[in-house]
Amino acid sequence: MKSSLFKRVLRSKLLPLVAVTVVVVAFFGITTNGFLSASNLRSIMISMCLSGMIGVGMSMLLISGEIDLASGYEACMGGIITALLIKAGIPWPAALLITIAAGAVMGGILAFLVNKVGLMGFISSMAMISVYNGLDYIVTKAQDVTITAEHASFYSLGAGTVGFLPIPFIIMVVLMIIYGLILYKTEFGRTIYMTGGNRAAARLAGVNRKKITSILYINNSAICALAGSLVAARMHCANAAACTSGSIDAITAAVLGGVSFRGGDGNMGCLFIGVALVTFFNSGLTASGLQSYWQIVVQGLLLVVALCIDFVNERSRQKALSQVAI
Amino acid sequence: MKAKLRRMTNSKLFTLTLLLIVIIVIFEILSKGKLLSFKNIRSILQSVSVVTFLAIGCGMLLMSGNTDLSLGGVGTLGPMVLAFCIAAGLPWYVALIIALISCALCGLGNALMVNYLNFPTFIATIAMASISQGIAYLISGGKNIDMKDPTLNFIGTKRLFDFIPYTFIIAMVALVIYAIILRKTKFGRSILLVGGNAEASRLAGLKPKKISFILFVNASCMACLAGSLMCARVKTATTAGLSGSQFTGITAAILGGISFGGGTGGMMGALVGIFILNVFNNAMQLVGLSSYYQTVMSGVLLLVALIYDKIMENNRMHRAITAK
Repeated sequence: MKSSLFKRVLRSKLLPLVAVTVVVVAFFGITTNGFLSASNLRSIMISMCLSGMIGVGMSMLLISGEIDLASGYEACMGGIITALLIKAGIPWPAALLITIAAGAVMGGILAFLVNKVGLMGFISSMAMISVYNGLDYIVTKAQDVTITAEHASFYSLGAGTVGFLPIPFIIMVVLMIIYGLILYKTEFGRTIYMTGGNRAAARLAGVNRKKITSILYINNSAICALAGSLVAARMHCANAAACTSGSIDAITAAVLGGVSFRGGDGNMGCLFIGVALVTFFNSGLTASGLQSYWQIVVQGLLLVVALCIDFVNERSRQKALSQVAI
Repeated sequence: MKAKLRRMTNSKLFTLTLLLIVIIVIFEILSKGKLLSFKNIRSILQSVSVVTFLAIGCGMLLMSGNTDLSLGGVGTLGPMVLAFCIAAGLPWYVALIIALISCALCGLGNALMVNYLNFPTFIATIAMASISQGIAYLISGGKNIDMKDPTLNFIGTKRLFDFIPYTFIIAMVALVIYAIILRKTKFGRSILLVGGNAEASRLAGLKPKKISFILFVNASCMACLAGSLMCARVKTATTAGLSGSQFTGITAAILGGISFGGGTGGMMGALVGIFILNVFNNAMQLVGLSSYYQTVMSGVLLLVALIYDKIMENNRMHRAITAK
């Protein structure tokens, strides 16, 4: 029993990732001053939140075999809506709820395009990127929408702490746990794996794929909108460029962590490790004083590495399946 | 004769041309005659040339059933290399060849990722987009590079009879060449075959991977030329470059009747699509809408094009089933 558990841990996909994360942290911890200081760790935790929260919705979509590339722009939109509502005098809890509802509407549009019109998720979400990005600039008139100090209670949502842990980090972890449980323990969660793993089989088993993916699209955009408002709370303002890199960061992190790009595999633990790895890596690059342009290159390279890992995983999965079949 | 007329009115090209005319008429009225003024037509022709190259590269890939979302990044890298080499004192043709080679390498990278590592095309090319964009930043140190070369600037800014820009002529020549390749050569026919059914084409003895390699490299080179033409016109290679314009290429191609799933389409349609897109964008400026409205509308146009493509595909499927 004990040895089999040990073997399982050794064989799991997570172990090499945890090891790599430790190496990355150790490397930057030694080479750059103050990388492991409490304040820097806390700021890393906070910067995990955007890609982490978008990653929650995105992972669910990826597992079901869908994708939403406009997530980052939906987050931007969410932040702007919150900031505008608070500016208009609406108390922030209400503003937050309205924002989440608006996010759900954005997801509904995408779900409509994918499931009713029959377009592919990635290209219709790419079209929505232009739409949201343009609207963001029109609504904000290309300026920051500031949240003034009278609404300071809202700030704590973005950067406040409970003990050592920042509040947005706690929100992210809670979301991951909730969605992890949904994926693992509920019938709905299992059908998500099924839709992503084998569409034909899922359909024959009576799974309503359109219904499931619609729910996931709506869910993803709602979480994105929430993530965007948390970023607005941290920066005390919202603008049209705040969260734009969120979707690619989230996809990179999720796939790096082992959420399959082809659907049917992955969990929230994978996502967490992936997000931590990417964030530590980026933060380390910044701390080591490398030109910021390198980060754009590295962002692309990381995505390629993530896809390579996904490719290797997929191959070994196919191998295992064919062995079972024999 | 009647049947021929009927076939013509049923064709995609006819619908698209009609759409183009409707758009022109509407905006001609809205802009109070400014749209079809001498100066404005000239500037539309100017902007058409850049989009034409993007649409050729992208359209050929779409026909074979692939997409390339890195064209914006690659189209920023290419002119940056060009301007860098010219600033270093190389003659323009050597610089252009170096720029084309560096872009071809990006295309090669895309093709490798898609064909040998089985990455989904769109995400592999998104990764390439940020790699090439980042390299463009690194080459220029985040600044714009001036490009002062008499030959290139002549091509970029001068016009035949002070009306038709030379860039437009180059773009049209390229379009005709590609139309001939597509219609008259074995390679061109096989592109459509691969796009229609990759497995069947492989069994018929074609090499889909080889074709995809050629088309990816071709698309990147086309993006490089598009960027270089723009750069020759404004006399600087900017870090913003063509970034984001991969959608312009895709939208123009799909608006022009090249199907998103591959297998159908032609260069004449693409030309109409390019004009629809450019006239529309230009008209929005004339009517006085800010560039942000254009961003929104470019997304909406892409969606409209996709939905139109979907409807046409459904019709095709329907016909195929009823024919049986």
